[in-house]
Amino acid sequence: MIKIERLEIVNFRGIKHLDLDVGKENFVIAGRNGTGKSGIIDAIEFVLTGKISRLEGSGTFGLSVKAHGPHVDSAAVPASSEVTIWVTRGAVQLKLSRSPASATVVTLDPDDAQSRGVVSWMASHPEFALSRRELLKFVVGEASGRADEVETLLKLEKVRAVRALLQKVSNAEGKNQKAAADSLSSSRRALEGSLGSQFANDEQFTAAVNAQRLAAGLGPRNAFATRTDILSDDEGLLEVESTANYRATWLRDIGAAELSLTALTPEAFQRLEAAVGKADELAGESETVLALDAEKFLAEALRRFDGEQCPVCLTDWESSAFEELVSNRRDLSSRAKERLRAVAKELVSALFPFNGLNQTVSTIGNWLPRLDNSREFALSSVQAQLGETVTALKDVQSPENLQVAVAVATPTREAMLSALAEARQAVEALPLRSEQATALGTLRETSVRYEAFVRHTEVEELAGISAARAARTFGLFEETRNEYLNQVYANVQSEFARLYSLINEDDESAFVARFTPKGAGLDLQVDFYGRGLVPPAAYHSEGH
Amino acid sequence: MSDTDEFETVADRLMKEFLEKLRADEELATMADGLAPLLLGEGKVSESDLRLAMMESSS
Repeated sequence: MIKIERLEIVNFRGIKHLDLDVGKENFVIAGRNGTGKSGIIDAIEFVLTGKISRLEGSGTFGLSVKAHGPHVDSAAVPASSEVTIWVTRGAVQLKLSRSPASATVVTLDPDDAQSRGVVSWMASHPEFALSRRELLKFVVGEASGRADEVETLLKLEKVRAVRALLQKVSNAEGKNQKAAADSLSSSRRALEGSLGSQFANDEQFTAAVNAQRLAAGLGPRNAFATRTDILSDDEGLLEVESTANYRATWLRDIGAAELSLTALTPEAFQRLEAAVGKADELAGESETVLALDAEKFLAEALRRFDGEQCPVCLTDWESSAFEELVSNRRDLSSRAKERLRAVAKELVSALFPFNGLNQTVSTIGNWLPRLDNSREFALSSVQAQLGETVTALKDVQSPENLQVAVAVATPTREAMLSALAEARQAVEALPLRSEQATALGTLRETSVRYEAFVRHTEVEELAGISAARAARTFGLFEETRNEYLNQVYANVQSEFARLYSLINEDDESAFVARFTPKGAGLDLQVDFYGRGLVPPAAYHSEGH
Repeated sequence: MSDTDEFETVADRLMKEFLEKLRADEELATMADGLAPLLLGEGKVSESDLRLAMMESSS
């Protein structure tokens, strides 16, 4: 932070001569219109940066620092106009002088590397000169827009970017964990299907496997850590190893799928169809689809707007008209996103009853080629269609997802029933084997599925750890950012209220302002006359 | 804001506080060393670099 000790203005803007000693304190310039208040701000900005913001941007065509920086009586001799300032920054004390005659040249005392460093730092912080239009951006507006402006002003873009990335990573890890949990649940179902019984704990699983081992003529085991504990290769009795041995297990899988399909009522199909119809409707609105992708682009356009030209087409714009246009487009974009979120939610909800069927059909799809590799079962295409439906509809977040979602073809109930019946018929045609051979088939299938179950358990555990770490890291960053920014906001809030009260002490000495972080945004409320906190523009004009 | 640390940006100070909190966290402490050059260095942080720094420390 730089602190101004003294300021001397000679023949600059509306000021002939002014020597101001402010003693490194905060100060307010008050006075009637036309008495030179803005001239002092211009002088400070000019001597520190070589620029005068008010002579740049919208509506300033033909104005320049050289021609319009000097006092009107000195316009012919810009060299007679000069601003000198005495400042401190940390331990550095220096005097700077600059004349509109050569605005890029600054005279320093002392003129050394440290002083030059301070000048270069100040040139990169033009925020100390904020016009009324710029100030209004902080006062009137949405919480998210205000936070953007404040963070840009404080050069916190990197903090904002890191916050967004940590949140993105945390969300992605959370989704990974859910996907891993779904896969684990699916593999557990498949394992239970192969044994023909559900198990709530290791003991129940051990008992179910040992029952099959006894039926296969094998000794029981205390625990099963790996696939080969269930049935080792040398226990395989390969002479009875044939597809017929799996008859019972596979029929159980088909039974589970038929049960899942029975639970799917015609209403469930209608609901899914209706949800996809709404997605289709949204995908057909080209303006809405365009708006879905436009938010970041519009925010960037507004950020790059220099007050005169559109940064994309370079057409001249009135500042307020451009901002209003972009703001309207952003509103459209927000509404489009809201609609997409609602459609996505409805799709997930309508899809829910289909998830169980998808899991059981997927299990059948894994062994179907072993049943008869030369045959093309209808269930293979049903499985593919159902899998595509679930994948496409479970996470619709972008226009691309939307297009994929509306293109899926969910298999009909009749098609699924017929495909399952065909598979059942083929399995039932397998010869019945002895109890021992059947038990061996069950153990063999169980050992394969157990291997997948163990793998999914490990993946789910790791995904859980990653998701917890990512969520905790984001939470810690959010906590730090809120604490830090709250402190900054508290300082700004008290100083802002103090200065506002001071300027308007005749009738608004009780003025209160409050900044409150809201997620990534920053809420501002004010109380002018002790009537309670309200948004700045709630009952008062922008000027107020 | 003291005069001694004023050449640091607000962002730098915030990042340092965050890294200190990470180091104080038993489970996340190892992440701090990997993240420090990304958060305190010049330039943008990419998602892949951030992920790498976060995930490497967990292995």
